[in-house]
Amino acid sequence: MKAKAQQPVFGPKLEAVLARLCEKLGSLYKTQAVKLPYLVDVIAAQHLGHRITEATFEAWKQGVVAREAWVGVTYPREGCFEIEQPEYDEGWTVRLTGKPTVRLAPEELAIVDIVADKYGDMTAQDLGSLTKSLNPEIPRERWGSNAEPATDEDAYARLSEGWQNLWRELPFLDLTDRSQWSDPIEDPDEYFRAMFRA
Amino acid sequence: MPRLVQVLEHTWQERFFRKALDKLNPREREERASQVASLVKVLQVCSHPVIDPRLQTWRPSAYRGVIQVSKGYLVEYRFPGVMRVIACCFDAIAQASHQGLVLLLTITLDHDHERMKKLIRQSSTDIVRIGQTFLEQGSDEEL
Repeated sequence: MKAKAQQPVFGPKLEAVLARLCEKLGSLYKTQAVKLPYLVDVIAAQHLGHRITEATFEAWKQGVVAREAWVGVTYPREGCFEIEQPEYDEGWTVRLTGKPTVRLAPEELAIVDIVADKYGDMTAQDLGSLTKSLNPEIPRERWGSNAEPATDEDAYARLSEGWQNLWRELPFLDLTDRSQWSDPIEDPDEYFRAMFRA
Repeated sequence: MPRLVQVLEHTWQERFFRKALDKLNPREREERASQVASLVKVLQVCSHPVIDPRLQTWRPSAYRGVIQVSKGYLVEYRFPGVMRVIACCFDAIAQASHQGLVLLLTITLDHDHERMKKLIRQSSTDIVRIGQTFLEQGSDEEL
């Protein structure tokens, strides 16, 4: 089933972000449409000092979701997108068919492009897991409670490869296995100087 | 020494850490090493790895329940910028002569913060240039 949009439902900047993502990626599947704007805002908050979209981000069961993007994709109205809605939820596809009502500034476009390049080929599951990993303060049982996720410096710092790698490995690490531990650190200055020099 | 501080060697040796380290110049390495050492010195003498007031410089926060660690809990320590140290704190399994153990799991250095800054600058310059070319040559609709 194809639904031609009838009324704008995204905020103007969110619409512009989704439009740029569509330009970069060809089309968006539903999870990308609801999660990539979050990554855009986490990076924008750090580099531009403000978010780009006006979306409401919430902690849903499968990760962070931009509520307005979910509503816009699920109940499409007029706008610059065409939403293809097959029977299964994940097959829903967002395509750009017009022009967004506002333009993004060049530095905003640059951030959206970086997100598209870096995270645009991730699976729905990996995207969900990535957005959760930026919010370890939200305990497991609160995912699904619509809690507000972080878009601050902490969330940005957790996009680092080191944190992402630790997040992936943690469930499989036996942290109580003492054979994996170093000796107790006696002289921190010397210990870390050596470690950072090596 | 009330608290032992040790390192999970496996995660500190992994390539992400080495890669991040390679991007730093000697002065930056020295600076980061000194910053982590300062934290560890306080951890070694603190009364609690999260709530001891002497640790507030690093704004520690515990993530109990995020990932279940037997007898321990994860704590994040924050440094200026995006550097973070993640540790697992155990109150119960240290030697009796110590109050507890802090196992340092990983450190996130500046990751690709600088690279991303450059990318944003470069991409936005390219976008402006493409936009100007487009305006000078006219849009498809005008052609």
